[in-house]
Amino acid sequence: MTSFLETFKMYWEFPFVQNAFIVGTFIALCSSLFGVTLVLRRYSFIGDGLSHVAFGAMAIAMALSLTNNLPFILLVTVVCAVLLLGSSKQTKIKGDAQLALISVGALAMGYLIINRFSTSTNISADVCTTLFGSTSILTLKTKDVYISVILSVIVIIAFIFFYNKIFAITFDENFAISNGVNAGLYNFIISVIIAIIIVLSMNLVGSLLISALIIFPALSSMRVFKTFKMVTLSSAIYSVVCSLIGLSIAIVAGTPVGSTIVFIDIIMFILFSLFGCIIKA
Amino acid sequence: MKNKKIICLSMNVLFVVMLSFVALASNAQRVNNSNASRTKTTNNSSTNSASSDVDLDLVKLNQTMLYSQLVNIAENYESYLGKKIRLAGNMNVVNGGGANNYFIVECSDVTACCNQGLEFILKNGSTKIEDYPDTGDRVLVSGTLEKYYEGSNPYIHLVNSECKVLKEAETNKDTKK
Repeated sequence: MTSFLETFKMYWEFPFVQNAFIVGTFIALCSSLFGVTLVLRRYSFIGDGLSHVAFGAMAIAMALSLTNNLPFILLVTVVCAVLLLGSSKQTKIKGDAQLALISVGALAMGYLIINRFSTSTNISADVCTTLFGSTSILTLKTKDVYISVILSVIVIIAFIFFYNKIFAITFDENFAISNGVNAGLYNFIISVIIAIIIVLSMNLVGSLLISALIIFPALSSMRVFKTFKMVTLSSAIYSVVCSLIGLSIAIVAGTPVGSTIVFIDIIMFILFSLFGCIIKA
Repeated sequence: MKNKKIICLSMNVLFVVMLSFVALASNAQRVNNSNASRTKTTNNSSTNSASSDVDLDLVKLNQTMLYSQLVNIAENYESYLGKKIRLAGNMNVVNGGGANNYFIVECSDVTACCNQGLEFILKNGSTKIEDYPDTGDRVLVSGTLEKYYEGSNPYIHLVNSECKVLKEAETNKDTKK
């Protein structure tokens, strides 16, 4: 334990490690806040789907040699998020099928475009880095850090201000509409925010593991707490703590960051489930 | 009451954001200072080279940190120019066309999918392949980071470099140059 702390203290002096912790904290916080809404609305896997869309958008941006690909990726992901989350219940292709269609299609198209039109010399590295995010959070440019923090703050402020409306739409959209809530507008806002969260989270855990950041905090908290407010608060703390622990272990032990964070999430989920069983008993 | 809660929460968020920006701003300054002062006092490496005059000793970093630091050097090289850097990695030679050879010490990230390297030139300025270790050899390189241009494009490399072939991870008994 002492050598772990000493090694961590040595690594902490590197600026990019401090940046990783700052950005990781904000990303974990944002993803957990809206994760509760997604889980309750049965959209747990949307993180995976939208992250594949973001991967496809990134591939197109690389093929077009865009120097700054973040706005393009955000735009494409937002459009798909609005289509998925805001789509009418009258559509022929329903929820999970819609998600699968867009998700696998974007992933396949993205990989095809990267292979065919990539300007990079190391295609597998670009793909691997985006999918698994083993060191993405540790290799952020200063500009990326500032953008991540600003976007995260926007997401957090939006959640605070629209908390009551989000609560109403999550549990009973029809009732909210009948009470005069503009459900369409708030669904749109939620879609945009979730797209932002997905694009940010790709830096922390990679495309394939994003769902863990969204699902685990909410599900673990629901094992112990029963009210929306407490589940949300617990998710936020859970997500930040697990991300920081996972990041610390990954840095000191030299393991992939995304996988380590998810591993810690799994352990904490088991502990929360046990604790929930004890409380019930 | 509700408005007070919102204002209170918003103030907390803004406070956290301000702290983050202060931390980020101080990091930019810290790159120039902490690396130079820290590694000059640490000499835990078991290799035999004169590490006391090294500004940035990357030998003792694990694979994740070494890869991340090399990416950081490549992205923010202005902060590291003029510093003496020491690192261990795998030797690679890239032919840039004709007699142009680039000698690189590389390391991969922990999933072994991504490589990041740092070009280096020996003290005698040689660019002959036979003067450098073989591709794939594990080498210990130390040199001073310098910027150079090819056309209008800036690049970085280590100059006045010493290069030793490592038989195992921590030995330096075989000396190539």
